[in-house]
Amino acid sequence: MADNQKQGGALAIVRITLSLLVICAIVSAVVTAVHGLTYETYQLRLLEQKQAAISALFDGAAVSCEALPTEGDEVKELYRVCVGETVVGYCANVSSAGFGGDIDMMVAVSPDGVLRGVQIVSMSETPGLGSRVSRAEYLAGYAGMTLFGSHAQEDLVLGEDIDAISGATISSRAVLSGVNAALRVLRQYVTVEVE
Amino acid sequence: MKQFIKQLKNGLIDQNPVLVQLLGMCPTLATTTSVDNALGMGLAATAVLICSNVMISLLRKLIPSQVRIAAYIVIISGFVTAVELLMRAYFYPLYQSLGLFIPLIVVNCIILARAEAFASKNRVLPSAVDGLSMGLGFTLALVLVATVRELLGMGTLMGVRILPEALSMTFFILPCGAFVTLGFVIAAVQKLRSHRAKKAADDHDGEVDA
Repeated sequence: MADNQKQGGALAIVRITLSLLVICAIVSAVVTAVHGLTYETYQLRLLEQKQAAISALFDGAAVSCEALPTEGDEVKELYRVCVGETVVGYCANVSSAGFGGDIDMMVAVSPDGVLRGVQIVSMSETPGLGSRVSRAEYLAGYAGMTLFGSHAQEDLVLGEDIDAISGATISSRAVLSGVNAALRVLRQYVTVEVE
Repeated sequence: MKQFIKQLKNGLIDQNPVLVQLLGMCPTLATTTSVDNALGMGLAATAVLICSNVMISLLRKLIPSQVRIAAYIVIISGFVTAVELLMRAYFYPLYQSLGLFIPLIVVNCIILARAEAFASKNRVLPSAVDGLSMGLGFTLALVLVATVRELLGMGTLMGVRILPEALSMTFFILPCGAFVTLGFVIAAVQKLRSHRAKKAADDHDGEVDA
């Protein structure tokens, strides 16, 4: 193939560039088409995932969620969670930087100011090390904390309110900072409802 | 058929991409923290390798040789992205466990190496077989390293506890443990190979297919 190029000169360069352009255009078109075709299904999957996480925080009850407006950028999404007509709690979707990327989690409180718990929606922590923060036994440590008394204003503290997992300090801290960010927003809703 | 077996043996042992050619070190070190991950990464890379080999073999007469590497990279990355998008929409649980590794496949140099060294010079069927055997060789190497690391680092195999938790050495799960383990696995495989080569040379009188 190299010999034709010597004769072609400038024409050869144009031909080579054009063929690369055509390849790039075709590949881009295919990727764009696939993205367009699958995007809605993906959004649906994400929604299912979040619904499942919220439902798990309320003992698996059939809950309905209503999105609330969020102020600031501490939480990504905020929901009022109802079973039938009664409000059973508020739920915030937050993400915080862990060791291997963002940890996406759901934090729920009940209207009377009790932390229902924490569910990890997605994360990419080191398997066997950081990934241990998603274990139910560990996350159960968060459930049942109250948002009045000493926690009315202050953040939760690692080592006092919740222990870090040995060997997974960064991941434990990331989960805690996500929970604190969620609580800073959720606290307002709790006091507003109680009064 | 004989050709097929020879190619398969080449990919798995004699020319194993990781243990002999020392390609694809980055995904090997990064994804071998557990056997599950290693298997997932290996099989995903195998699928991409087969498809990219077939595609590049089909297009080998159309791609100008001066820009072939750029063209291969575009085709491979386009392919991987499409697979990722499809997986995300239709096989969400699989995507969740493998999602992290899929973009890594693009930069896996085994795929580019096979495109350049084999698929661009051979017909479609041998190229597909080459992709399969190199992919399986990659998977085999990953699983070997991951078995050692998961067993010693966490005391489990595929999530099932084998050794008590007190005996697990976190070192093997960390990146430094990956380098040490990979070194020992390569050494052991080389020892086995040279042992067999010697044996084959010793009883040379008969037709011995080791």
